Amino acid sequence: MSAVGPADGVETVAVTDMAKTFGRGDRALPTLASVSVTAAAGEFVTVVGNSGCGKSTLFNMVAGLELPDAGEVRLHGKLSLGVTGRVGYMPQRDLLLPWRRLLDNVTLGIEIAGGDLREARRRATELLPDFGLEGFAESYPHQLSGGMRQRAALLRTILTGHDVLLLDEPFGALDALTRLEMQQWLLDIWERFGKTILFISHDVDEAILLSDRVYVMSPRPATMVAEIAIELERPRRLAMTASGVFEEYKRTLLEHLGVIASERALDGAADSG
Amino acid sequence: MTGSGRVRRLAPALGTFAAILAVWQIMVEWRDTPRWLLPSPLDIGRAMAESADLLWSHAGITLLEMALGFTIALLLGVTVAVASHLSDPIRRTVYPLLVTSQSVPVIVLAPLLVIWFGFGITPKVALVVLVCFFPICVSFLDGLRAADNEILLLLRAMGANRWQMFRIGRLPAALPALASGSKIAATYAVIGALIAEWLGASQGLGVFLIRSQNSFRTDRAMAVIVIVSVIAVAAYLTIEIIARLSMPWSYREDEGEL
Repeated sequence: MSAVGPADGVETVAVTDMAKTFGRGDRALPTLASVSVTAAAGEFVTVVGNSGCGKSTLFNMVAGLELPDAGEVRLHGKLSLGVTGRVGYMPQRDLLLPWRRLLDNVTLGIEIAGGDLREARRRATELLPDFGLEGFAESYPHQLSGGMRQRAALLRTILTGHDVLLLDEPFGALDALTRLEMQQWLLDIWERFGKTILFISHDVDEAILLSDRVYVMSPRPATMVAEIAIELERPRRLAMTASGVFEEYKRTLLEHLGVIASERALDGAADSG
Repeated sequence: MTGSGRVRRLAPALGTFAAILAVWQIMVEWRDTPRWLLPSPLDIGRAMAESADLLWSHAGITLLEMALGFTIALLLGVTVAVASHLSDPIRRTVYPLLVTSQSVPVIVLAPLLVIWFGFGITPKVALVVLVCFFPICVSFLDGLRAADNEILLLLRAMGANRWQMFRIGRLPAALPALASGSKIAATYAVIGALIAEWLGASQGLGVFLIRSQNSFRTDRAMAVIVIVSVIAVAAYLTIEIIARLSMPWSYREDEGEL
């Protein structure tokens, strides 16, 4: 897949020149200066940036939870500002309701939308094995491991039936090994369900391994400083992270994030001193 | 939790209690203390057995007052808490009044209630309502306000309306707090009923207690005290059991007392 838009010219997700400042006067906090993101149908797009740069704010606008000061969000070409319930939204914490058993948690979206709950439960039960949750339909969240909870949260997001999923650092709280397993598993799920995924990460390896395209966001007030198409073949394998091409992508991304540049500056300062 | 595990955990408390009773019994017999001054545990046991019928009928009245008062307080407390949560003006009006009202000692209200409602069951129930209402209402209101904002945000992202967010994300989260408030209220209920009965009644454990003291039947008075504490513990445990059965998710295997 490439960075060029789809043939009909309509992106599945199109965020254009979005700006947002929180607060007013002396306390004003300009968070997004001008941010544009697109994702074509079935594309896996990741936004990387340092923590606190406004990645989650961007997602909240796409999810309709907040209104931008300027700019627009289009889903399938239709303007969608401040409208909730159109995309599947998965925040960093799994946010499973502690008082609900697994099956009632994953069908939450359909319940809220007023859909057919019996059908939703049947479909959820069918999908449990693919999400590594077979036999846990009646379990409470506190009885599940961190990885299982995160998979349950993704199942809940997928069962909402929306074709666009916003995943906000979903594996950020997991240990390193579980995180690697979850990345592979997420790729399988994505390929199988054909969803369009917008993903947030501050982990460059994760971004390269998963994505078709990676956006690099600057610190606050944020703009997009780079957009890089990752042309590694699919299916992606963990072994690819050791390849030269992968390293090259990684160097490029780190440079755009300002990490490598600052290292050079430090070296330069040390040499001259 | 296994039965034997529970027994082992309670063993120190039970052992200490038995030791106190034993020392008490021995001291009373050894010093030949008059029974009207301090009856021995066995004396109290005998008094309980010999006035069992009387105790039962008086306890029945007290329990009825407690149950009615607690139920009314629960309904009122939940209603006021939900109303205060949903409406800022209501909360700003009710909350300070509620807190200030707690500075009025219940014991000075009881005679007034007798003047207003007479010597029947009404002033007793009213007093129980007064003592139970506050812990129920305040704990439930705090529980409602302490709901996880991120969960509410997620529900909103899913397109939930205000009522769905309240019903799905907030109400269940506040139930453990309601249970805690109710447990406190349940133990207060006995004391409320007892105080109300002291100040003017013809039936109830409070009346039986005053009559026993006035006729120097200290053994009977202490029998009433035993019954009262058994009732308080039973009321507490009843709420605890209901809470555990209805909210298994808030009790993890390794937590919980008793």
